[in-house]
Amino acid sequence: MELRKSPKLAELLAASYVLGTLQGRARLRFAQLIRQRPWLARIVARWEDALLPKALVGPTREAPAAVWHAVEAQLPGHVPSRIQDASSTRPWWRASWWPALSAALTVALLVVWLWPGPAPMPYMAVLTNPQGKPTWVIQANAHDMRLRTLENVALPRGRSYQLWALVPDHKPISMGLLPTSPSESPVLPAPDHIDMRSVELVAVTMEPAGGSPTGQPTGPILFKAYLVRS
Amino acid sequence: MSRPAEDTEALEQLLLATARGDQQAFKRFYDCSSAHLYPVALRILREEGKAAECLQEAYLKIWLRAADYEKGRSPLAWAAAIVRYQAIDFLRRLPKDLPEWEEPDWEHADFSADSGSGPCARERRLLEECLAQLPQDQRQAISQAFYRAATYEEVAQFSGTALGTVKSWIRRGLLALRECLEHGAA
Repeated sequence: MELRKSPKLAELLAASYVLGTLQGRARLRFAQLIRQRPWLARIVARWEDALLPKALVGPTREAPAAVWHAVEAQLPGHVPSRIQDASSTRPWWRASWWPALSAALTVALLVVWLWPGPAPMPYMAVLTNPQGKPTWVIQANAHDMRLRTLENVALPRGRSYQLWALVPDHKPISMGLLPTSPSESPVLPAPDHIDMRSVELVAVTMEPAGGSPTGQPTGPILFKAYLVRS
Repeated sequence: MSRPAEDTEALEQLLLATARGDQQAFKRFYDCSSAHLYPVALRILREEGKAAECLQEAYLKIWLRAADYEKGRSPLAWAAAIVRYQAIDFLRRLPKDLPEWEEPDWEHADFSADSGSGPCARERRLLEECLAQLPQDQRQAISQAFYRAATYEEVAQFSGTALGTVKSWIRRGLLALRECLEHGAA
């Protein structure tokens, strides 16, 4: 059904989405629609502007410091503060710590180089583990997908996690097996016929070791995330 | 070290800079907004650990989606929506044995006593006026759904009312609210 032809329904769905009473699949589907239809996003925005101020009443409360540290750690090019904070009044080239810092900076620069800013990889998704902890960060442009593993992932013996790109009206497209330790951050090339910009969702299934024998998912979807333009 | 978020224009500038990838601006936006947004997650999830985790994911989304923010919208309401959606997603993934909490008085849960101050006071006043014009059952059902982030089924359960009735209260209430908000804004 074309929602645009039913303004009252669109209004109600938007209001229920913001209120929270729209649930389950309908909620997911609607969240997807908002991203695709700017006119719908505007209706949702009007409801957010009207209702959300009500969520902001009452006493404020400091968030635990760990929240910011965790957020900061996931920003692009994040360098541990130990290196950023290093400062001295002596010229840096005379400092005794220079060789160590220089090595650290080389690593940091390498990290920055390997982790380009938003321009070259403007699409992003964060896959969370069942506890809701961000586990894999995916960045993509039209041709490539870069994966970063944030957490060690437990996997039963003889099994692999496989990553799929979901494009509307297509069968799931295998993007390869997911790494399970933070030391592994591969770049996965997109199959030739796929423009990563058309990918809406990425999903993870558990498959026999080495990947699905059929080329299509054989296990249930364990995690999924929208690929959003950052 | 959070700072008050009264200055909408300053917050807006910080968000616009964040959208350009300015991490310093993002940090300042966090400092000014997190003490307002943490309670949004806490009220829904009712547990510090979960609320903190939720806030962390929400701020990551705020960073990623800052470019979607449209100038002229309330930056705090925009960010609060992201936190609230994240909290609702968390809540519905959690087992249903949430810790007990002190139930607000839904009929008077408009916190009208302090609606004259704090962030978005003007917008809130308009909303309160429009809510006040709704029949009591519609107003109460909407308030419950909003504050508890409750589903229709849960509102029906709290109020001891049939599911269909609750759905129709909320839907009719929301449409009437839209009329009033537009009229009030005109």
